[in-house]
Amino acid sequence: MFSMQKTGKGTPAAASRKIHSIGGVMRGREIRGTFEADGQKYQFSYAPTSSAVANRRLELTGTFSISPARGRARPPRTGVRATLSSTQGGLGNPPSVRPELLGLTGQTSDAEAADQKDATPGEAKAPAAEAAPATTAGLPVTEATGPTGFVGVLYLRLSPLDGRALGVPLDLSSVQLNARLAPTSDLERDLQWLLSGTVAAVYGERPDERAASGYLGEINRRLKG
Amino acid sequence: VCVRKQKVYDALIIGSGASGGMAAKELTERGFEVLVLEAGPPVNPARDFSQHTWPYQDMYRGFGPPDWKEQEQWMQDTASHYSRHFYIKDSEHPYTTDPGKPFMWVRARIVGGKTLHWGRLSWRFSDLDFKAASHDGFDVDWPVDYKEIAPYYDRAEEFIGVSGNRDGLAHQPDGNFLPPMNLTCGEQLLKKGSLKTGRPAIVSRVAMLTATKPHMKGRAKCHYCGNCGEGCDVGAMFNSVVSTLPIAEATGRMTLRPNSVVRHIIVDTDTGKAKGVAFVDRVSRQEFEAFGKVVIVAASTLESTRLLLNSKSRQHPNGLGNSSGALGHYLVDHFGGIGASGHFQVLAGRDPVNEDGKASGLFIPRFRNIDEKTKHPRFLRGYGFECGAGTPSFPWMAKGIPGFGSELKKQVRRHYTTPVYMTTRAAMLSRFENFVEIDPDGVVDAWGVPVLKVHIQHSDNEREMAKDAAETSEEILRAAGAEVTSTGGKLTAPGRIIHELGTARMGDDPKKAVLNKFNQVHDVKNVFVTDGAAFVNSANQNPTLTILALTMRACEYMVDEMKRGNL
Repeated sequence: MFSMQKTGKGTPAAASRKIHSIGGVMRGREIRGTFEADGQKYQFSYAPTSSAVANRRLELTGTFSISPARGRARPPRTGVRATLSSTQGGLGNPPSVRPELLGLTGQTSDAEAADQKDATPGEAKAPAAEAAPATTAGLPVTEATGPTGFVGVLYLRLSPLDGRALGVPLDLSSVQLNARLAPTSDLERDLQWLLSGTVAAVYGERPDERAASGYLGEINRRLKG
Repeated sequence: VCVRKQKVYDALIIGSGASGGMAAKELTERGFEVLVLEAGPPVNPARDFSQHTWPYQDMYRGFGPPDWKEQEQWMQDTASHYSRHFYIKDSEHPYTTDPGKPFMWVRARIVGGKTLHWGRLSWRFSDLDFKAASHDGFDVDWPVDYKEIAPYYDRAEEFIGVSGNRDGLAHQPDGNFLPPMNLTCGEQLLKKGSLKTGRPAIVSRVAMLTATKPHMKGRAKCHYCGNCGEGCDVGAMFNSVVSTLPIAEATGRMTLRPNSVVRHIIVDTDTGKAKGVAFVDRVSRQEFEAFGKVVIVAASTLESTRLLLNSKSRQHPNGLGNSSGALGHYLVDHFGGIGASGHFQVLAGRDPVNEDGKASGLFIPRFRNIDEKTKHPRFLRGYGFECGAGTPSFPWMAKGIPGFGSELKKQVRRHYTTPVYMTTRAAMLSRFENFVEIDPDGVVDAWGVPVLKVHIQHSDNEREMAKDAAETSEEILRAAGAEVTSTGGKLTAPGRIIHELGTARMGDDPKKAVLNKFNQVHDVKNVFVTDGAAFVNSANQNPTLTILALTMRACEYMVDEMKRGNL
C-alpha cells in the first residue's frame, strides 16, 4: 500500500529497544510509570533518596527499578542520578503550602499574606517564584504565572543504566524521565511546593542559593521519611 | 532492511487535521498523488466516538478514574473520559517552559487531529484583522487582504457547512451559511441586553449542519445531543474523518499512513529544495523515509514549527525556512477566563426543549477599536464574548444548587433553563519575544525527537483588555436582567484556548517572514506551511475557517506553480 523506504539507520530491533524518554507520576516518594517498547509493556519506579545542586542543576540520587508488566520484579539499581534538564509549568490546582514551610521564602507570614492577596483561596504563592511581569495594579492576572506559578513536570536525565543488569533487553544508556507532579497526599504536595521553589531558585531569572539550600534541606528530610 | 523502489509522490502532507485533510482533498481532486503522514493512530468512529454514551454507561459515570485528569495537564478542562483517546499523553510528548511562565499545549495526534473535538465556531477575519497594523500601528499587516481571501471563505463554508445568520457587520463579514440554529430563551434575553448597551449580538456561526447538500455524503443534520467533543458519529460536525479525507480517498490518489512521526524534512544537498521526510513508526519505532515533489506541513501550529526547526541542514543551519530568524517567533493564543455568569430567574420552571442541547450559542462580536468612536484609551485590538444560556444534556449547574434527594432534583429541573454565561475570546498581540525554540537542554520525546521550549507571557495590553472585558460582561448581563453570580476571573494561561497561532508567519519580505502570501516557505519553494503557524496575528475570532480558506488557496497556487514548473 505504501511506497517508502526503510532507512539503514540501526537495525529495527535496536531502534525499538532504545529508550529515549519515559513518563511517570510522583506517588509518595517515588516516580512511577509505564512505557512500551519492542511490543512489551514495562513498569518502572524511581525513588530518590537525596537531592543536591551540582553545577547549577538540581540532582536527585536514588533507586531505579524496572520490570515487564507481567514479570517478576528485578533487582533495582541504586545510586542512580537524575539531573534536572528542564521543567514544564503547572496549571490547574497549585500545591498548597504548610505554614511551617513559609519561613523558607524568607518572608514573614504577614508579608506572605499580603503578597498573596490576589491569589484565590487555596492558591499558594510558590516560594521564590519568578516575579510577575510588570503589571499595573488592579489588572487581572494570568493563571499560574509569576508568584502563583509552580512546576507541573520535571524532565530528568538519568545516569546511564545497564538494561541487562536490570534484567530487561533495553538500551537504557540515555533515558529521560518525565516526572509529573500531581499530588494526592500531603507529602506529595509538600514535595511539589518545595521542588517548585528549588526550580525557581536554581533555574529562575534570579538564582537564590540560600533559598535553594533551604528547600533542598526540607526535600531531603521528606525523602528520608 | 527491505528497500523498495523509491516512489516520489506529488505531495507529502504532514498531518490529517483541518489543514492536512483539506490539502489532501484539494490536491487529489486536482490530480495529485499524495501521501498523508499522520503521527497518531487511525480512528474508527464506531469504536472511538462516544457521542451517545450516557454517563451511567461508564464505570466512572464519565468522570474517569480518580486523579486521572491530574496525570495529564491538558485533560484538566478539555477532554472527558470519553474523548481522552483523541489526545496525546504529555508524558510521551514533553515540552518545556520557564519557571512561572506556563503554557498549555493541547495536542491530538490521531487521524482527523483536533477536528474530532474542535469548537466548530467559524468566523471570517476582516480587514480590521488582516490590515490591523495599518489600523493601529502595531506590528505588520498580513500580506493578504479580505478581498483575496473571501472567495476561499465562500468555498470553505460551502464545503464544510456553516450554520449562521447574515448579520451585516462589516468587521464580522457574512458568509455562505446554512440556516442558523435557534437561540434559547436566555440567549434571546442576553441579545436584547447586549443591544441595550449598544453592542450587537449574533447567533454563533458553527460548522454543524442544519441542512445537508449533495456533496455532504454520509453526513446528517445536527440533532442537538450536545456531545460534539466526544466524536460526532452522524457527521453533523465538520471534521476531516467525515468530509475531506473520504473525498480524497475516493479519488484513489491518497495514501494515508497513520502512526508516522515525522522527524525532519530531507533537503536535496544540490538544490536546497525539499525532497522528502524522515519519519519513525510510532508503534514499531522503525525508521522510514518518504519522497515527494512538494512537502505540505500541516501538523498544527507548533508541531509544524517544531518540524521546521528540527530540519537543520547545511543549507538551513537554523532550521528550514529560518533565514529571517522569524521562525518560532510571534506566538499567540487567544485568552479567555474573563467574563460573567448568572441566572435568568424569570426563566425558572420553564420546560427545556430538544434544541437546548445545541452546542452553540450567542456571540457578541468585537466592539472596541473598530473606528475612532470605539477607540479604547488603554489597549489595542479587541475581543468578543462567547455566550450561552440554558443547559445542554447534562445539568452542570446542579453542583451549585444546595440540597439533596427529590427536592434537589426538583430544583435542578426548575433551573434547567436559567443559567447564562459570557466568556471572553480576546486577541493577544503578536510579539517577537513570545517564541518557541528547540529545548536547549536536550529534552526529547519518546521517539527521541527534540521538543519545544515555549516562552510566552501576556502583556499589559492583554491585561487591560481583560479588565475591560470583565466590567463590560457584567454590564451586559445586568442590562439583560440576569442575576449575576460571578464576574471577573483570571486570564487563561497561553495555550489553554487551543488557538495557538503564528511562529511561521506570512509576509512579503523574506527577511522578516517565513512564508509568502501563499503559505510557501520563502527559502524553500517546494515546502508549504498551511496551518495556524502561518498567521500574522490572532484577531479575536476562532481560526479554523481561516486555516481552511488559506489551505485551499495555497493548494490552488501549488497546482498552478507545479504546472508552470516552478516547484
